[in-house]
Parts: sequence; C-alpha cells; structure tokens
Amino acid sequence: MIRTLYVVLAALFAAIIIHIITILAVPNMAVNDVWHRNVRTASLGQLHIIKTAKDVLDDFPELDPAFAYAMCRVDVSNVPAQLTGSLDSGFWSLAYFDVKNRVQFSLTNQISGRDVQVVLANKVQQRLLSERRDLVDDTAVVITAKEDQGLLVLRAFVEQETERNAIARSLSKLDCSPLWESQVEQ
Amino acid sequence: MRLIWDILLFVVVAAGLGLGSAYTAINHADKLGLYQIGPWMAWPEATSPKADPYTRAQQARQGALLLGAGEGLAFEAIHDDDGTPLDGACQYRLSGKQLPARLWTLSLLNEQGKVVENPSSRYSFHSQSIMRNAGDAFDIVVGPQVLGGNWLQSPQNGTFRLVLRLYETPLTSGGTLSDIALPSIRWESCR
Repeated sequence: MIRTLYVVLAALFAAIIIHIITILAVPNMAVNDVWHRNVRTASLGQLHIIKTAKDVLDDFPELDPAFAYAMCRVDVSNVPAQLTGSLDSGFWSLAYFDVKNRVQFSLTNQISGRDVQVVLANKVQQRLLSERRDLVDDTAVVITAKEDQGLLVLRAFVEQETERNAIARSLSKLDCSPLWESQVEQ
Repeated sequence: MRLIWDILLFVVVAAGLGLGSAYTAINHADKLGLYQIGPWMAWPEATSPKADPYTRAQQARQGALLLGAGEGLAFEAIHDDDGTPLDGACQYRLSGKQLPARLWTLSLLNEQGKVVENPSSRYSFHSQSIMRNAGDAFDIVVGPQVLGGNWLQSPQNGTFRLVLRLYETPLTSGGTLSDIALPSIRWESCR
C-alpha cells in the first residue's frame, strides 16, 4: 500500500513536469500557426491577398470583413526584408507576427498616410543600416525582427464596398522582397 | 510482476494527468487575460510577447491573426446586457456614443464564424458609415427582419456573435479599459 502511494506521488510529480514541458513546447511544435498556414498559401516573399469579406472569413475567421489584406512571409536571416508601395485606403495597419504567433511589432498609417515603407531587419542588419543610410529610404519605418522568420500582415480599410477592387489592386502591387536584391535591381 | 504494475501505474498517471491537464489548460486559456466590459470581452495581451505561457500555447495552436497592440483592440459579445445568448431570431438594439478610436468597425458572425447573407450585402458597420442621432450617439438594430438605417442582419436560426474592433485606440497604449463605455446590447423582441 505504502509502495503504491509512493508510485502515485512520484507519478504526480512527473505529471507536473510533463504539464510544464508540454505548455512550453506547444508554440515550437504547432503546425497550425500563422507561419505554417501561410506556407500552404504563399511562398517566401510572395504576397497573399485576401480581398472579399467572404474570403477574409473563409481563410481567417478572426479577421475583420471590413478590411482587405496582404500577407507576406519573410525570412531576414541573411537579408532584411521590405514592404513598400502605396495604398488606395485611408487607413491601414501592419503587424509582424513571428513564427510563434506573437506580434513583435505593429503600427498604423497615422504618420505615413497612404505610403507603405517598412523594412524588417535583425539587430545586426539594423546596425549596418544605421551606418549605410543610402540603403534605406529616410521615410522607411525600420522594424526590429527578434525572430528571423515571420509574417507581415497588412490590413487595408475598405470604407465603401465600391472601393474594394481598387484597394485589392493596390495591395497586390505592394513590393515584398529582400532589401539587397531590390537595391541591386535599382 | 509487481514492478511491471508499478511502472504501468506511474506511466498512466504521469502521462494521463500531465498531458490531459495541459490539453485542458490550453483549450480554456481564454479565461486568462480576459477583460470584460458589460457583455463585451477582450484579450488585450493575447498576441503580446508578454502573454502568459498558456495563452501563447493557445495562440500558436489557433494561428489566429489577432490585432497587435499598435493596431487596435477587438471586443466580442455572445450575450446581451442581461447575459442571454444572442439569438438570431431576436431583435437587439446597440446604443453607444463616441468610441476612443480613430476608426471602429462592428461586424456580425454566425455560429460558423461566417458573415450572414442579406439583400444589401452589408456585413459590418464602421465609424465613418454610421448614421448618428443627436450629438455623437448612435443606435444599431440587429435582427432577422430587413430594416432601414443602421441595421445588421442576424441569422434566421442559431446564435451569433458581434465583434467590435477599435483601431488606433489609446486603450492599447496606456489607456484604462475600465474608463470606456462600449455600446449596450438591449433585447427588443423575438419572432
């Protein structure tokens, strides 16, 4: 009886350890996070546009049907990434989700208006960018990427449904690409 | 034989309780970090890097693209002011005043999380399209019967939920959630 009690107590202690390890491991092992869901819809550096209210909720039920969306998977392990362009929307916001589904950075267009000029760089690359001001536009917002891989999600407000097509077109014209390559192309 | 029995007991209890409690905790993590104002519920820290481990695990599993703190804050309501589940066969009146945001939207989703088809293809209201009463007050009627003015179609059958999103709001940049008054959701009638 005493022996069984010891076994149960030891098992309870092990259960606590298993509980903690499981909770901490889930973000690293999840296959339904934003990164993996977008692996299925768009390749690295390719924009995935969600246009209509129905499409919005079919793809991601938590999104606002009053908006249209552009998503871009980025990897800044070698080169900073940029998202640039101009939108036909009076309000937009941008969030950078890391692979563990945490929002590392988010902003609205309060200062930048219709222009999107965002550069995503890790700390080493940011140091380089601060020394080489010619590599990045003065008006660009430089976001610190704490994780190398992640997802940029741009939400563009559709004030009237008649504007939705034009806003979706302007979203599809955004440039989501590595910063160096685009410098070489210029 | 006794040793095998002890090992089996240890494995079953440790794995069963450890994994089972983790699974249950993650599936009920929405109870953590919940902020409630009347019938409206919000999870301000859900996508924050500072979120608790249970919320982080739940978010990773769901893969939801929730609003970041710099974008805004979303509130959900599945009950009216009296705590009764929102019923598609009933009519409700939402009454509110100016909300602390640069832009706000209100959308209605059915049980499956989809928009409800309606003749005017109206799936949401926003602060720039709403017709206001005197001053900055507004009313929105939610119900199954087609109405003019500020009206959102509810599903003919089943429950639904309302989602109020405040974009660029001071609530996510140091403001106090308890200070704001969100729209009331008052039951009016049922078919």
